[in-house]
Amino acid sequence: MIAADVDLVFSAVSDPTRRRILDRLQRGPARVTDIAAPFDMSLNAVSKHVKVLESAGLVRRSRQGREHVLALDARPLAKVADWANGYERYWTKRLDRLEAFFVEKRKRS
Amino acid sequence: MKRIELTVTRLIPAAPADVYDVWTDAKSPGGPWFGCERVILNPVVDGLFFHSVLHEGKTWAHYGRFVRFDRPRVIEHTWMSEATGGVETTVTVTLEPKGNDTQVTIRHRDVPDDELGRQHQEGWTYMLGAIADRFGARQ
Repeated sequence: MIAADVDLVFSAVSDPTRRRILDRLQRGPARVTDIAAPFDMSLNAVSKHVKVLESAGLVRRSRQGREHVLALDARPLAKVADWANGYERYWTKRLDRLEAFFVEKRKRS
Repeated sequence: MKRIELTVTRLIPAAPADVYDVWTDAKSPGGPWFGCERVILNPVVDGLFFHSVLHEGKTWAHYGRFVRFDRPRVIEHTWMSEATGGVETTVTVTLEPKGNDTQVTIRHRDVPDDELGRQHQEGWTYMLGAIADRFGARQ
C-alpha cells in the first residue's frame, strides 16, 4: 500500500460523521437516504461524506432500481493495518532509497 | 504471539541484475545496507550478516543468515532482532523483469504483530483499535 492510499483512508476516517456512517454500514448495506436520516444535515452534505468514503475504497455503491445502496468494504483497513507494522514502513523506506538511486542513475545515463 | 506476513513491492527503473548487485553490496548507495551505523555482510549461502540501523528514533541491531541466492531473481535471508522477539523471521526479495524495469517484491514472513509500534503514530487509535478490529480487517 502506498502512502497516498494510507493518507486517503486516514483522511476519510478523520471526520466523526464519516466514522458514524462506517459504524452504520458495519451492520449491513443501507440506502443513502437511510444513512442520512439520523444526521442533522442535508442529504447533499451526507452524500459528500459518502463520496469521500468511496474515494478511499471504504464504501461501495450499487443501484437497486432508483435507490443507491451503500456497503462497507473493509479491505483498505486491512491494508492500512498491515502498513502500520513497523517493518512494512522499514522496507518501504528501503525501496524508496533504492528507487531514488536508480532514478538518478538512469537520468545520468 | 500473533505473527503476520508483510509484502511491499516497487517498480525500480533498472535491470534485475543491476538491482540484485546493489542489494547484495554493503557499499553500494541505494542498497538496504548502505548508510547503516555498522554493517557486517557475507552474501553467500549460510553467510551471516549484522547491521545496526537508526529507525524511528532507536538503534536496532539485526542479525541473519543468507539462505538463497539466485541471481538475478531471488535473495533470501533470515532476520532476527529485538523487534522479532528473538525469533527467526524470513525475508525474500524477488526481482521480476518488467520491460526495462524490475518489479521488486519484499516478503517478510513470521513478523510479530507490532501493536506497540502502531500506537506511536497519531491517528492510529481509531483506525486500528476501533475500526480494524471491529470490522475483522485482518481476515
